Amino acid sequence: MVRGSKCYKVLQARGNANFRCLISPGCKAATEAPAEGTILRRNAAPISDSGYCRSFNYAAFSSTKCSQPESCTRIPLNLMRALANRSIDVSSLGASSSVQRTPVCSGSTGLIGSGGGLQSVRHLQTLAVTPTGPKIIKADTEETIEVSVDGHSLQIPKGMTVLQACEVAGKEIPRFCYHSRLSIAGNCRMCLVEVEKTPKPVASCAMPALPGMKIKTDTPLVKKAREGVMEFLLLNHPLDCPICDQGGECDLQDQSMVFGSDRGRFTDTKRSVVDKNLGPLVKTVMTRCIHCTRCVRFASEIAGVPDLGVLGRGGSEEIGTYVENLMTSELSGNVIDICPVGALTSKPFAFTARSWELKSTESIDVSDALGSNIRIDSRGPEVMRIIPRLNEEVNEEWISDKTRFSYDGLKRQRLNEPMIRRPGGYLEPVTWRAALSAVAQAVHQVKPEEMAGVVGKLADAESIIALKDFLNKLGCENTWCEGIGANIDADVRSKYLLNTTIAGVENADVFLLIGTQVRKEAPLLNARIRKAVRNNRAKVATIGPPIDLTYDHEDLGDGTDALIQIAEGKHPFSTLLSKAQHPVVIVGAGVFERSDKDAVMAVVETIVDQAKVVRDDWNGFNVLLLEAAHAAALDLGFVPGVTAKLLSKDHLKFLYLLGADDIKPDDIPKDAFVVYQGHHGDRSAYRANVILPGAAFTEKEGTYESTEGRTQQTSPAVPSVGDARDDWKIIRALSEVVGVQLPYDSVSAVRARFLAVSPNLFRVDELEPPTVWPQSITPRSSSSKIESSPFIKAIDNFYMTNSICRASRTMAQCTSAFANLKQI
Amino acid sequence: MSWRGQLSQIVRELRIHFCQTSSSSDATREFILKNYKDLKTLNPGLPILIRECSGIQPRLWARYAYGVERSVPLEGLTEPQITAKLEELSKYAS
Amino acid sequence: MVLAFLRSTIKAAKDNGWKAALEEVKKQGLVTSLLDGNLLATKLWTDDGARLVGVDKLGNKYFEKKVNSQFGRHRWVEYADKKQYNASAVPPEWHGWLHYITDHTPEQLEDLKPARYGIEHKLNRSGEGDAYIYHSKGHALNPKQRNWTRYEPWQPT
Repeated sequence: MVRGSKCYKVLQARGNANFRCLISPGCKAATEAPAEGTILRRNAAPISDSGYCRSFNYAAFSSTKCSQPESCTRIPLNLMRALANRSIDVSSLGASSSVQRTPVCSGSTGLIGSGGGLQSVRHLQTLAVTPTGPKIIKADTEETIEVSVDGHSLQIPKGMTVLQACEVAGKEIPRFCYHSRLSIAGNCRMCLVEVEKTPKPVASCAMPALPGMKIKTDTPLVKKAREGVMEFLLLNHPLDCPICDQGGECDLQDQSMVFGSDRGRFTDTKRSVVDKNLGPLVKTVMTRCIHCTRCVRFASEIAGVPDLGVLGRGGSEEIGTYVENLMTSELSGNVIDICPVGALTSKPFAFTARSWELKSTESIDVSDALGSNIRIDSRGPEVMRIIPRLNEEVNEEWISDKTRFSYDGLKRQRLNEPMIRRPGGYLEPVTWRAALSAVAQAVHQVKPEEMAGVVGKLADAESIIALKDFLNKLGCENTWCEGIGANIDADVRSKYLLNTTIAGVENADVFLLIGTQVRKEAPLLNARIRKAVRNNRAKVATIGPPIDLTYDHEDLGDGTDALIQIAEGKHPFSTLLSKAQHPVVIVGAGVFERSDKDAVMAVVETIVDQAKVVRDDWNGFNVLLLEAAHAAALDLGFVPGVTAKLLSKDHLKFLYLLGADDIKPDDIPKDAFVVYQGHHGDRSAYRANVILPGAAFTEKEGTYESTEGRTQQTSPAVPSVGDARDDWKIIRALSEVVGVQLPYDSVSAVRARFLAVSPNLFRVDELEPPTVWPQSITPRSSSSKIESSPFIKAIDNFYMTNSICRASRTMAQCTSAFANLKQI
Repeated sequence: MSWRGQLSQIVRELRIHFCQTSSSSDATREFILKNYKDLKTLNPGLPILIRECSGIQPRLWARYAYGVERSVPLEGLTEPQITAKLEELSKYAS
Repeated sequence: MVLAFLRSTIKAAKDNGWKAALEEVKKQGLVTSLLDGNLLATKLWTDDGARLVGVDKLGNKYFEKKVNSQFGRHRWVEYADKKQYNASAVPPEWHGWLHYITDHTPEQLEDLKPARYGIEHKLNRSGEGDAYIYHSKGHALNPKQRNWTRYEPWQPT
């Protein structure tokens, strides 16, 4: 089991008996079999209230369909169907993928385990929902057809391919070019299976399953076909395994061991191909390429940049850009995961580690507000690479380049010991005792209304609540988050969250993006919108600075005029919006920094009302937050309180910065005492009077809430640096030294405090949908009038948004390489 | 009622916890629908955090100066009773 | 050999006086040879009739004696530094010839081999003293001990 992983227990039910967990034999849950066909709710916490292990159990193989998929309220319907449809790809085998192997319920009951315990356990250990990922099939019909796979007959939904049918049956079919999230290519021929009454073996990834088909995957013909295809693939493949980064997690290695023959017959010269320069992130050794075209399809379909293509044919086929471009997408790192061989690998990670010496930890990314699930691979005390984890609802299997490659910033410019600024202006390293006493001394010298606390971009919820409690105990209400404006209203959750949810965005058909450059602020949300555009022919209009979003969109300018016109109904787009089935309005969090924010939001609310964007079954009004800490901070109420006097900066005498690096030094009075608690020596550390080193997100177990309201936790992958401590512990210790001791001593006590402030932060891995209140519930402030100033870019340089990125060499290389491109 | 206008002089933050769907939180939701706008207009600087979470029992929290907090459970109360509880909380002054 | 030694000593004495003779004695390393069994044996039993094949850049002399000698002991080296010698003092170009791997002397090898780069050959003196003991980059006694911390702390400037 991967360290830190939640126990996704796999349950096996043979009819009504033998209901046992195959991963944790000592698990106390599920000792009694629920009735066949019962839906158990899938959740991250292993034990449910009723004592059953919460795994999804679908009694598919008794030829009865699950009778109540709709009754399960936790899983989105399409994921339900996908799980029900058994379209979870069981990957080839072994360590064949770089994406997290999260065991999910395979449901392949009758066939797993029937062959013997050892095989079943091994199969489960290699059960991977990668590299070809589970597919979300929008099963339009509930019709099923009957096919037979290796003699076992089963019901599958209509429209499935033979390969998917075999997977429902639990048979692993090897493949290279097929990926469940990409279009079907059918060029590797590794998935050949025998179907009765066909003259040739069929490419199962491309052949639709027809009723009454008899599919055979273990005949001598199929075996010979696989061996032959493997031999051909290895024909021109260089003998690079010792120097190839993909060794140990290479599909070609794994599948040749299982499905290939032990010898080849090739005695001529192998062909070689010139390497392509795709940028500072993706390393190419094109000789190793087997031309599966997964990267080509990914780039054109999902990333939306038609950079890569196949040139030539036959032996002289090459994959490249031809015009010597770099890969311009911010999702370009995902081709590294997708490539089954070592042709495309990670350049920063090249030659640094082998996959088997890395320890994996499941965690959450904090470079943007989406909360992509990642897996941190570390060796000893350093993070070697970051890989995506599967989460259908947030990031599918992709992560952005910033998430993937900014980890080398964790090794530079780290704060490792407390420091105090001496009268000469230099910073002196001191002990924790001395540093905390210095802060306490400063606290006692100022009045509560002269103090302020600012939460930075990467702060976890535990430290936010600790800081808030600490400052409140001292009588200070001057608290705000950096980057979201000081007069934000955190009362109603649906006013600052992505209400449609990231997965829900896929179903929309009209988008209005206001003041947000989604491609830079949340690349994976942009990928979802692109998915909606491709699948539903969604129309997108943007109001804001121009940007290339990788899909066709209408640019309505960057001023507020278009916004007012749509609200008044005079704009052609407003008819489009009102006629839409699932309209979505996304307001960027940069809008909250404007002085006329209230007026703008009022106009947006008018639009939302008129177009009925918010309905009973669909909430299309969204706010896209920019930073990982914002949603949690707003939920916890880290906003200026009743006695806050923020605007008069001259009154500020004590400033506590919780990792806040974007505070302009001019805004801080010269005589203010600044305490900086963070993990990188970025801008604010130069102004700080006392520096308290905290832990980065890879080193602590912190709770983060994503912009859609999903609470997730990071796990510590590496120990914290030097003398640094967990952030909330520092504040707790400080509170004791100051004299207003906080009432919690352990992580669980801090999390219990969440229950008192914002209970949704206690429910990890769950999305608490915000209630939709009628617009009339909030008083309209008629004070501000909408200004004509245009919406500005919230993010200037995509690669340099937080302190970790600014310390990262890779991000600096990206900035210089991609500087002249539109999306930076 | 005058205490509503005086609310922010004593209470620094109000939090209303309730469940989105369950029946025990019906009255709380009604309370919010009826009273939030009023309270907010009279106390524009007061954070009134409306926090929903499925499966919890409704509760009203009030934070006073210097971090002191009090809470009352709202299960089984009707909307006027909840208003009365809020008034009670607003009078706490020590 | 003894005869050759005496001959050369007497010649030196005749020509340049007894001081030169002493120099010759020293040069021949007779005194050291008396104390070091290897050298003595070489000088006594084998030197007689040996042919000097060549001298290398460190000063080692290479002899060969094909007649009246045991096959397998017909090539040997007389080290330049009589006090400090070990097998690694033989440079690579002579090593092959000395160990009967090849019959080519360095001049012949030079003609056969392509030009290569390399550093000057040195005697391996490891273990002989603190200066010659190798310590890894992490060892405390290595003056250039590397900093193994995996992060760079922030330096306030």
